Amino acid sequence: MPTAAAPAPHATPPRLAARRTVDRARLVVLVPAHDEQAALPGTLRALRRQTARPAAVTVVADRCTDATPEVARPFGARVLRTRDNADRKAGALNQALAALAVAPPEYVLVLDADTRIAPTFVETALAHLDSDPALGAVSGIFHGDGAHGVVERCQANEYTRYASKILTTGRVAVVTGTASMFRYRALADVADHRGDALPGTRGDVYDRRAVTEDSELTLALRTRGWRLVAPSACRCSTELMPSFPTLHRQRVRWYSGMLDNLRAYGLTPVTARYHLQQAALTVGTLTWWAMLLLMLGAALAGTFVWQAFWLAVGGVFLVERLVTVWDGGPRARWLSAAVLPELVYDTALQCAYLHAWVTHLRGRQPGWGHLAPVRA
Amino acid sequence: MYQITGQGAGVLATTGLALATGWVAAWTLAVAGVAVWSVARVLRRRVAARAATH
Repeated sequence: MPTAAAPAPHATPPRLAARRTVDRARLVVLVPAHDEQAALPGTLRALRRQTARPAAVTVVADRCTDATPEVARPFGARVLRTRDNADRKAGALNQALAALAVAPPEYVLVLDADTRIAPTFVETALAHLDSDPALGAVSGIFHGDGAHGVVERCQANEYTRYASKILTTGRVAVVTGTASMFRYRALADVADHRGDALPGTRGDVYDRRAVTEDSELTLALRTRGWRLVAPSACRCSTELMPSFPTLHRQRVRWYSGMLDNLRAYGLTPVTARYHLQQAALTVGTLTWWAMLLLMLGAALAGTFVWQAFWLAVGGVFLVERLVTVWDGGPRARWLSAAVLPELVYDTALQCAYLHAWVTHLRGRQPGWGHLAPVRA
Repeated sequence: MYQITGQGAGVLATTGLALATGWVAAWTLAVAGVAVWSVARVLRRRVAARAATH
């Protein structure tokens, strides 16, 4: 729902004083957008609020039927319309990156049109990339700010836990497609090795066949030996799915995309950990359903009893859920303490995971499920 | 063809049920162990972060 304080999408935004401007030779921001007129102003406004403000912002308008290009221009963004793109976001970004090849910048920030980055995002990412030449990308850590309703709040909790996991382990499983900054040389390196060492077509940065282009690019960068980080200051806020059906579509795409990517890469030193994660997820899902069936059977047979030991084990899970979501604030903690909503949510995600396996095994591509934004 | 008696089917079902219950219990305990480890790591990170800011 649009807030009263938010300026109209087409209004010329005020120029904000930045500590410094980052010129085009250093950084180009690419914002792929497909019918994003409602969400785009928030994204571009967040770019203008950066402590290190990028001078070159390109909105990649892909098959837009709304006013996305008109919304972008008042913010000083250049608009690049894709031509004959049948490969969704990957194809749109490939076209935009190909256009950069004439005079490539040092770094490229790829930013979803429904994502808002924290004011220090660009400054922090640049500092990391400048200080480590082996660093291929700086990933954003996404959060679900402004959640409404139980489904969105459960997603926000999930994202808070994911962020906590990244900050605790220091390991970036996926360079998020929502907001990540890349060293141009790393992207060029990936493009040069597609078709032999990496899946895809030589010259493409993003593999056009990948359903989840961000996880595929992560595997490509890792395979080429580039390091990846996700600093806590590179926070971003992304869209949440408002209902279980939209969440299901999104997750079937994410899960089956990762399964497809792992099949394309096979078992390598880089992918071994990802394969192990998928195996654990599959066994965990099947075990959870077996437990539900056993409990249901015991309840129907009248043999179900509460046992202190297993209640204590349940207590361990409750503590873990609370501790890992603590940073999300009181509402996040209360939702977690209620237990049942998150159990239902996790079961719904497992349904999506099983559906993704079926989609993957049948070799089908899941629907994109573009969501018309409701909050500008 | 093999034929299974009513008693055999009962034994098979009981065995299957016992195996499934055992598996679920073992997996749950393993995941609980991971949860304890995860809590310890998160708390350690928070303590370190707090110490760094003070």
